[in-house]
Amino acid sequence: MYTITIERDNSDGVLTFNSPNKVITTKCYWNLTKKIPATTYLNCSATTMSRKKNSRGNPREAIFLPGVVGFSEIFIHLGKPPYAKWSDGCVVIDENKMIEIYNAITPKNGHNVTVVIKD
Amino acid sequence: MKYLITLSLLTLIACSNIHAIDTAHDEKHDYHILMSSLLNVNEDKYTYIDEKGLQRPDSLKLFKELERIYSRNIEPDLPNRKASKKKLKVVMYFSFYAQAKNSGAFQEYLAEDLMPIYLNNMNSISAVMKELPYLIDSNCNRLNAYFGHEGKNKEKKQDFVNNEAQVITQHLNEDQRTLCMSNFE
Repeated sequence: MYTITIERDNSDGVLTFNSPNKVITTKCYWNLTKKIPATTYLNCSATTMSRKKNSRGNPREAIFLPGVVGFSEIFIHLGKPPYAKWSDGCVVIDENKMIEIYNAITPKNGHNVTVVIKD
Repeated sequence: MKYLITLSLLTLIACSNIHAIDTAHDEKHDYHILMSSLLNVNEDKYTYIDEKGLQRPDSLKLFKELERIYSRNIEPDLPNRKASKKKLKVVMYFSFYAQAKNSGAFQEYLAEDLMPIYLNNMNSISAVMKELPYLIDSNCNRLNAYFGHEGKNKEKKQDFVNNEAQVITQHLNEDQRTLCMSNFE
């Protein structure tokens, strides 16, 4: 089982990924006008978004969050400055960290990630 | 020989019928998924078994299915990268869905994908807006989102508003035009 904890401040936050073998910490961002509720999201999954590409031209790596109240199809995915402009509700982190987290999670599409968002 | 030709013709006819049935079936399936997703019904269509052995609704599988429908309809099906009205209506429905459901992924997809489709189908999109006014607000919103999404194309907005934007509203009445253009303010 894998856990991602997001501690949000006013305009950005800190995302920490925990797995049995790896801990990854990075800054994270979101669209300030489309902020998803702070709670615990169970059964999240590492997956890809087929209509968006990463810098290598492959489908964008992401973490899917089910059951987000007031929203749908919410992900943690890559972004670049200006980070908030990459989000319509999703949480955005740097690409290298996103790929590192994605690669650490097995299996993909596995409902095996818990995402905890705290304000 | 005569027998073989007859058999081949019959096979071809049979194949074309199968294709027609498959296409019709897929379309019906797609519309069922689109409407079910908007209404949050039939959520047990896509499920997975959790670690306790319980069957649970799988919104990730549903997203993948919606993504497949979206991807199929976003591709032009007419010469010169033009799209049939049927495809345009499905894509524009996705804008409506994305806005109504606050969909992170589809709002982000459309912020990038809708503008090129609009520029190749300006008259048709305006005509669809006139026919289906409930699609006006969400689609004008996604056209505006193109300018600045992922930090790109912001500098192109004024030129678009001054020139191409008038074509969007050409078939609309005054209230509808105001509603659409308010998204570009």
